[in-house]
Amino acid sequence: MINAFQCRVPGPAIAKDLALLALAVIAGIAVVAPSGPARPVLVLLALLLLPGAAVLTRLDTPDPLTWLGLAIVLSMAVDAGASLVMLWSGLWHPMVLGAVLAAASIAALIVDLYMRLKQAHTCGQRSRTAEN
Amino acid sequence: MTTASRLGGHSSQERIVPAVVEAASPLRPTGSQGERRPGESSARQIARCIAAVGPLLAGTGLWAASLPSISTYDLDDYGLSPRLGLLWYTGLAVLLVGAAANLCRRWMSGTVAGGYLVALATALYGTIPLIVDEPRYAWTYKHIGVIRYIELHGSVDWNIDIYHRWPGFFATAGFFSVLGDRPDPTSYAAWAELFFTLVNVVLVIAIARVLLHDNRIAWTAATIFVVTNWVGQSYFAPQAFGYTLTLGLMLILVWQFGGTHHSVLGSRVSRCIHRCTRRPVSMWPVPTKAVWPRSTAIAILLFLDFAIVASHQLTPYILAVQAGALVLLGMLRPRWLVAAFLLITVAFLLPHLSYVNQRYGLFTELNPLANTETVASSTDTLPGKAFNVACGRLLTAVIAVAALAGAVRLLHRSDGRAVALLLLATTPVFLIFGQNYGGEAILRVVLFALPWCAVLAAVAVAGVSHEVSLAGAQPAMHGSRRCLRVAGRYSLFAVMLTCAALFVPAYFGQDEIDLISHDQVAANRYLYAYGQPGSVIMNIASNAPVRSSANYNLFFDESLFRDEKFRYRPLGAADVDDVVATMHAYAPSGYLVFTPSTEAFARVFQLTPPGAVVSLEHAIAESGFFTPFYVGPDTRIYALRPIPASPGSTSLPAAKPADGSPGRAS
Repeated sequence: MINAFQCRVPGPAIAKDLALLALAVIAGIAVVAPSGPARPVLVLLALLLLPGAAVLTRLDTPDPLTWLGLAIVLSMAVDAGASLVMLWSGLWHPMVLGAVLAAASIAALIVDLYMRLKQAHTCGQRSRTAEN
Repeated sequence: MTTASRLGGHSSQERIVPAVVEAASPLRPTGSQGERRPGESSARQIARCIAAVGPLLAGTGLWAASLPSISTYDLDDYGLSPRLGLLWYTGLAVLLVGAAANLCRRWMSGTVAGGYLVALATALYGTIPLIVDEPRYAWTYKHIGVIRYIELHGSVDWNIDIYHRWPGFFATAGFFSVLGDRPDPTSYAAWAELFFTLVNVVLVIAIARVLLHDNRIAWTAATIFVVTNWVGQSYFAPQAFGYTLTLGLMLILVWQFGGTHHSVLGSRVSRCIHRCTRRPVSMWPVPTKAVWPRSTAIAILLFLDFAIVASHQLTPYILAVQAGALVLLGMLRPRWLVAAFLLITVAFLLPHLSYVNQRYGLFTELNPLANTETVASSTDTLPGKAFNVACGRLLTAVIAVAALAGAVRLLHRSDGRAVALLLLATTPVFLIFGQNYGGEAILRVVLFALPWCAVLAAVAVAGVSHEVSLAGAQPAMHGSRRCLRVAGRYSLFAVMLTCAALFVPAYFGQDEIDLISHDQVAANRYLYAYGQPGSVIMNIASNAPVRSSANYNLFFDESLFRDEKFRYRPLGAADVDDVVATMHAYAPSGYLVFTPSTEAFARVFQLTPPGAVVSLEHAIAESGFFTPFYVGPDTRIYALRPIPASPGSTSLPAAKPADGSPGRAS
């Protein structure tokens, strides 16, 4: 059953998911395309936000700044953990790791986006029913 | 309606999420005092907006305009601070006054406070990357070398140095370097200090909000944190990476697992506070229940701890001690979490124990006073250095006193959060009871105490609104709220201006030895590219940008003044034989490097009388033992001729011409 709190349309969350997905796509294009000055900035943003944001899709945070801090810290930890596995296993392929992390993050964000859109749709239906 | 008043009476998730999100939204006034004034005219609103944002724009403009005129040439023992210029100081002062005014304003805006924070952090930590070509601090280049080694080999070699045994930061930076197409981290390392500071600021705000539920205090704490972090430990280094992860871990720890639990020590402390204040004591903000699933939160904490453990040697111990202290006071559960942190740390250390013990020693000195000695302590005889060191110490004292005042203010209201914050601020001191950490132990203590001191200092100068007091805690001094608010306003201005005034000499005061010229970096690149592997690279002093290339492990590097026989006396032709013998003790071939930063180091630390290094270089150039290998605008490298026993076996590269232009490409 959806209560009043859950029935708030998650507009900012949907926008956040869409922005992160856009960042993932643009960063991916920057990596694949001939190198330009924007590539390090986009890659840095993607590495600092996407893995942590993917983890936080399943967890609540109290405010946007806390979300940002946790997303960066978790991303740094995921990047460090994954790089260490790559380093210690002798399989140093940063491009492959980047692709794997991006794919996992995008998958988590798409699932989250789907859930939120579904929630928004349900809320819309409920409010229409209430109005009628 | 304030955050705290919205918090009561709901389930944990409902209780925290909507309330804090609403209060913390950057698009609305976030003060703990109330909401927008009703019936306010639009002209007045515009005036208020200009008053809030005007100093931000003016200060940033003044600071930006000052940058082209800042010269880093031939700095004296006062470092960079006298060269920053009136415009730079005016810009900083305008930003500080504007930030303090915004924090004092009844209708404080989070967006504006964030703008001031970014501007202040950029002015303080972004000035150097904007005015010099290369990253500062010689140690940065050692870290760059490890990253380049990893990029080249895709692996680490435990026999090379200790960095290869704790490679978390280096592997992450190498990963980014490849993906971002910046294989040489020199191109971005200079910005690390600003980057880490900005991330840390976000985490300090989040921690302060979780602990005190007060936006004004959170923004004030972050601003104080920015203007007091003078120890220069947030540069491109593993400890900066580990520190940021630690702040993130502490945020999750106090948010998800903090609470009031039974403990003998906690009960005693609580009774002690009760005896002093005669009021019921509350030890923790609210009986916080985990918002995240417990197992998920624990898994994330352990993973973060592992990332910290694999990145830096010291940080996980400070973290474990801080968490352990909270457990002892009953403010953190489960207890075994601290044991798990320690287990991960010790398990990671065990394979490296003999190496660490052999090279550095697990404990350097048990005398805490001896362990507080820093490298800078030995430079007090120069007036500039004495002044800068005094500013650093005074700044630490100011923030400590302000933190104590904040703790007293909380305790006066029977608010047990003071105990938790005091504990977190003081427990890093344990470090000086066993380690000098290369003269940096006390700097690390300051670094790890700073976020908690900043939160307490913010309580002292901004106060905690009565609405967000702990349940059970009583507001003190009912009749003098207005007086307190006015006093708090002035104390906020005073604390911020004092801290910034002390910060500038303390932070920029060593730049005559910390700044590395472009030619020094180019000379080192040339040396590693064309030098003979197996040679020794002998610098005059230890602050040279060595080991910056992927093949740094193929060379020895040492500093001449490490050998006491070259110190505290004039040098000249009579010492050339000793220099040659010292270099031959390491390798049959070698390079003697004269750079401005190492010469400044010798001057500042008074390792030689004035003119001794120039005299030695003249003698080296005149002797038949050395040939010029690299001659740049301010760096000269002399190649040691091979040992006479095998003359002609080694052909030295052609000397680079004195104009410094074409030899590099040869």
